Amino acid sequence: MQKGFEDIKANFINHVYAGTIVFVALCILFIFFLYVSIKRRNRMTLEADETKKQFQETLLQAQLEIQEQTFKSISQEIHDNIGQLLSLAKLNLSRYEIDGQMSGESLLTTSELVSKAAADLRDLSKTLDTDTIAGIGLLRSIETELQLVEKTTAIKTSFAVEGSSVLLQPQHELILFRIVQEALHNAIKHAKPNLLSVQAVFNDHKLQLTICDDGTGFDTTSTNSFGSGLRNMKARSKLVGAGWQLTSNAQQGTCIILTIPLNQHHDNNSIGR
Amino acid sequence: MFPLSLHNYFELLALACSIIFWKCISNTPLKWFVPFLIFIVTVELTGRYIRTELKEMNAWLYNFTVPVEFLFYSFIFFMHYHKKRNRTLVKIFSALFVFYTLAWLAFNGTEFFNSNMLLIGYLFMIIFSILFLVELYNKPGMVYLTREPLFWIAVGLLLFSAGGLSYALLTRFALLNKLDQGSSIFRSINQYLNLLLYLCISISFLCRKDLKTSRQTL
Repeated sequence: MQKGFEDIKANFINHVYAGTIVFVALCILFIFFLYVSIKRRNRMTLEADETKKQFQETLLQAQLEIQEQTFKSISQEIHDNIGQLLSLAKLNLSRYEIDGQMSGESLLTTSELVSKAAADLRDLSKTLDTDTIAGIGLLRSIETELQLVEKTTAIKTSFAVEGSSVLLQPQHELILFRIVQEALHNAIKHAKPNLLSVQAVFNDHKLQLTICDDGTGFDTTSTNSFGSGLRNMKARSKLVGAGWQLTSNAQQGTCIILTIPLNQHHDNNSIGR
Repeated sequence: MFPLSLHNYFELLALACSIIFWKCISNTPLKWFVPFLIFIVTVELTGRYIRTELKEMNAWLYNFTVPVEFLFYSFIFFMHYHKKRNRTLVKIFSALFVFYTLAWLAFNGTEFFNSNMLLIGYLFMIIFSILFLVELYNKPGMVYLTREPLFWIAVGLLLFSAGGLSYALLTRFALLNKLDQGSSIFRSINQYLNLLLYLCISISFLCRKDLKTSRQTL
């Protein structure tokens, strides 16, 4: 102890300077860590804001695209289906104009044609409802979309749900629906499929959405294979926290598998529709 | 008396900055730095005059002025703290510090410098600075540290107090063993620490982002 005091006495200046330097260095270290932490936090806040902004933009874009796709389908449906039905009905009626009489069978056929056209119009009006996805949910929206595809094209569709369905956040449902819609219409446009199928599998932790076609397929290893549509789908999947997987082989069709973690999206107050 | 010590020029620089940027700080608690820095410059020059020209002890002067400095910085922190607990701590410290200083002067007179006061003051300035920096860290949203005037003041004060702590801890030992006669070690350390402190205070006036107190902006 005495020796220690003697040492301090002998090197008093050095001890004081050393103490000063140590204390100041500790403070500088503290300030440096504070500065770095706050800077990192600022960067994370900026990134979060940017993601939020990007999400809103994508949501808006998806809404516009859904609307555009719906209009296209409706236009096609009116032209190919309702238009044809009404033309046939008009043809039947024009016979009455010429002959002044109409058989019971012909009248019945005309009535059936008009009824069919009215029913199709009712179905179409449902798809025009902009709140469809929010109102009826993702699964029913996909089902309606598949029905519309089947009506407007010669392609068969199938839809299957496994497990207890869970309601997702409305914005996420909208984006997921747009991904499914884009996948279906991509297949129709490029793959010449005979069958389009969508499968939704729910379990405790995730929802797996599989969109498959039996069309021409393509080589996924080719650099040109990823068009803007596929890139868009992939980016949108990432935005809603969904895993995105694509499998395709020439002449064996294409499958897109979306894996959505349910703990992020699950609404505790809701039960599947 | 002349030439002045380097830290005196930095004190004058801080005063000049506070006057130049008066318009920016006039609506904030930082406005009190103008009279405070006038006070500091006057005290430092007077102390220097007493020591170098009159060749007399100036400890009595610092026995009165050092507590004022600590109390002023406490007041500035008090105005910027968001948490009630921190403000209460400042209030308690200020009351006890005034009481202790007066009691010490009453019992010991003004002839010798009260080194315990320096130690207590340094310790609390370290605590107050860290508390402010922690509050700044916990402030929600984006925080631009270098644009926060009180960040610079807290940094300056933290470095000043932490740097002075080692000498303050050994003052009694030095006095008993006559290891720093004429306080030359103290003066040399204090000069550099003052330089840091007043440089940081000068910078704080240049950061014009925070025109309100942190408490108002939190």
